[in-house]
Amino acid sequence: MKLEHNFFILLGQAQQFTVDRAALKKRFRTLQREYHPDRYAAKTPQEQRLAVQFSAHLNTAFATLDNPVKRATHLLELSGVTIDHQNSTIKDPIFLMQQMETREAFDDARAENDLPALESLFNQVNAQFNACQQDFSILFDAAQLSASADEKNVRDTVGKMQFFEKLTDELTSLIRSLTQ
Amino acid sequence: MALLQISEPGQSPVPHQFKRAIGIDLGTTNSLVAAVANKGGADNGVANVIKDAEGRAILPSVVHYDASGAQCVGYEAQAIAVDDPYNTLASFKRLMGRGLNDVGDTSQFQIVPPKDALTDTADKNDVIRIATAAGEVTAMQASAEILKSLTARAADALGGAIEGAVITVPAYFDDAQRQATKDAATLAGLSVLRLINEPTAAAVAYGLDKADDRHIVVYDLGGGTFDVSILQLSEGVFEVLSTGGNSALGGDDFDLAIVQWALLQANTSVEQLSAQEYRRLLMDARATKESLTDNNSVALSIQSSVVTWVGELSRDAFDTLIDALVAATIAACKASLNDADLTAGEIADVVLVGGSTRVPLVRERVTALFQQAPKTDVDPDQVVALGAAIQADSLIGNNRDSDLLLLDVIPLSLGIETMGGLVEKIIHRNTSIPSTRAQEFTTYKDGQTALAVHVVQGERDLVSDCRSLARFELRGIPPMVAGAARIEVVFNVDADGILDVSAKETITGVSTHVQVKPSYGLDESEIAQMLKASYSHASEDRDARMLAEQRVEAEGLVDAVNMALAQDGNLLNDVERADIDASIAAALAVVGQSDAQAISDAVAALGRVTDTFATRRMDQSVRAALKGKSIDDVADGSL
Repeated sequence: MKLEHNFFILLGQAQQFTVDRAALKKRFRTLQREYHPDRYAAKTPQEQRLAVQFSAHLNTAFATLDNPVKRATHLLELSGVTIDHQNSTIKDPIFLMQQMETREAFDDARAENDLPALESLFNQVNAQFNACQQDFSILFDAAQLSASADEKNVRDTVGKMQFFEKLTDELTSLIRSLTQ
Repeated sequence: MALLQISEPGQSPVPHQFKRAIGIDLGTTNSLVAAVANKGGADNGVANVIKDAEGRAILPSVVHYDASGAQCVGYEAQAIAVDDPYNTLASFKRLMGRGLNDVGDTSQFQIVPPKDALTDTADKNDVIRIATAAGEVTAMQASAEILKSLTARAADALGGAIEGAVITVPAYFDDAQRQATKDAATLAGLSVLRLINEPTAAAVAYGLDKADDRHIVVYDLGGGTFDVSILQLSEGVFEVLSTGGNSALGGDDFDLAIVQWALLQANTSVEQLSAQEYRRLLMDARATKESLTDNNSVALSIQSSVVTWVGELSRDAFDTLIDALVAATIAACKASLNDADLTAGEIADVVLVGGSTRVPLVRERVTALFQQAPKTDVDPDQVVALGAAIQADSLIGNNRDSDLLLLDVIPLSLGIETMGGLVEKIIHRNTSIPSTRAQEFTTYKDGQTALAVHVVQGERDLVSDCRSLARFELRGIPPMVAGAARIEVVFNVDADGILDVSAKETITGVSTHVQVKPSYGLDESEIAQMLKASYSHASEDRDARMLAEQRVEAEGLVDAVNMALAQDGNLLNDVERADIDASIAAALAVVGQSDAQAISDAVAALGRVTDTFATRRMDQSVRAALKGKSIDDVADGSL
């Protein structure tokens, strides 16, 4: 079964980093309403199987476009740039220094269950995450990877986004467990 | 998509026929069946519980097996339980999809066979087998008896064979427990349209799926179990945020509290009563509890050979007796709120499930906690079955206007064991289902020709802290240097939350495909064996039924393909068209004959040859839908 691989086409979005999340969600629901296996529960086994595959594909497409890091990675893939998240390294020394400091602050606050410090750290990291998404959108949506220098820059930006995402996730769950 | 028949609204390809679909609440203590009445009838599209010949809605989830191999279920089995406890199974839902180590203390069962009657044989997938006079029995088989009885009742009431069912399961049921429930339906010869979560069904019965985004609490106090679930409804998607409860706390404990009080008042003890007298008292206690819902004081008596006592229990005294029990359920609600990261004030609706929620003190405490009166319009014994019936009616296609679509998420992460006993999660919890994920692995030794795959479920990092679902080996990997093989492990979770794992070596083209069934489930041959044993009819009847089913499927597929060809034949080139035509001819050639296997093969062949066609039609329809809307919508940026 060959399904539309370009999630932007599938979910009716312009192929760029900036997405209209409300429209994205609406389009996703419309398609699920049409193709969810529940709509084929009384149909032939073949139709049921196809519906499961297509519905799963839609779920993956939505989860990809709804998440900034996954969306950026998918955009790059469609442009022929693959990113191996596990083995890619960021070579921006200033960024790396800053992040080591952030990590230390995080570890200290965690060790002392310092909720106000964790919350202010969260706000700081979240702002950096948003700024990083802005950077990506400017780099990618405008340039569409015209020059190879951009590609390196874009890769690094995705790497940074991934870093911030992981840290915000950790902070969110830690803050949640402390406020309970 | 309707091969995928794309039909305009009101232009159904085949004249619309009412199909008999049912909703089943397969409970620990009691089970029920419900259906939505045919439109145009007196009950125009309303869900109703189907009662037995004696007018009872409830079927106690009890099965009695006797030496002749015959079984009886429900009230009949319950009546025999006193005299023949070891051959009477109750509360077997607790054993579904479980091994002995999971179940632990089996004394929690009302009627438990002695521990040594439970055999846990590793070579049979660790399914718990219970020794009875009729031989070894599994929880799946006992559940199948309940399903059969309810299905027969429904077929009588609806005037024909049941074409599909929605069965409810607790929200916390994992993959193995869901699979076991499906196995039970297979054994009962019942076609499952979908398994849905009990709290979701209760919310559907109240029509909450049509409401705005909100948080809903489902408080379910049954005979022997208490469950609380917190649901989030977001644009028609029900997500279970948290579940909690106590599997050994229920309305039966309220009855026992009254019994203890009466014995104390009468200055006597259980030992002074015969089994029959005790049973009588227990039944009177239950009646007293029910009566206290509408009365401030109820008379109760003990009549035995040694003691005669007559007393009066007031509502206040009863409230005192059950105070600690109700408090325990409220504590569980608070814990679940915490887990969901919500406060009581953020709950929009509270739905009550289970007969024990009729007790005034329960309603009072629930109201106090959530600062609102709980929903009580729908009978709390029936609400889950009614919700399941509404969903069944929608799934089978009777209610074409229905907007009901329950999008579900997976309750626990799924992963596989990697080096060092660590879990690599492949599908994370809260992922929307159905879901497909592939992950690549490789060999770590030169010349390695096999790879062991251990599938686990849970949130923890260590395999030992998670539930083991299945183990299998991928064999026949061609010898290569370490790290050269590319082994793709694919996880497929269907809309029921049931997992299917396959693995193949992709580089060499040598691919092995393995289907896994979870542990504590039954393998195909076992199901076939049990099915054979469960049919009282001669084998010809069984064959005739299989043949009829195969024919219906073949004819349905041929019709669907013909319809699709008429509409979109232009999507195919001549070779593809010829292939499909040949497969249709082949299917039509065998459908009139009496070889079920040949028909099944022809259906499979036609399915394979039309896959690409179906995909193209789907793709075309997705693009068409986009185009049709794009002009206006692109302008205002929405679809």
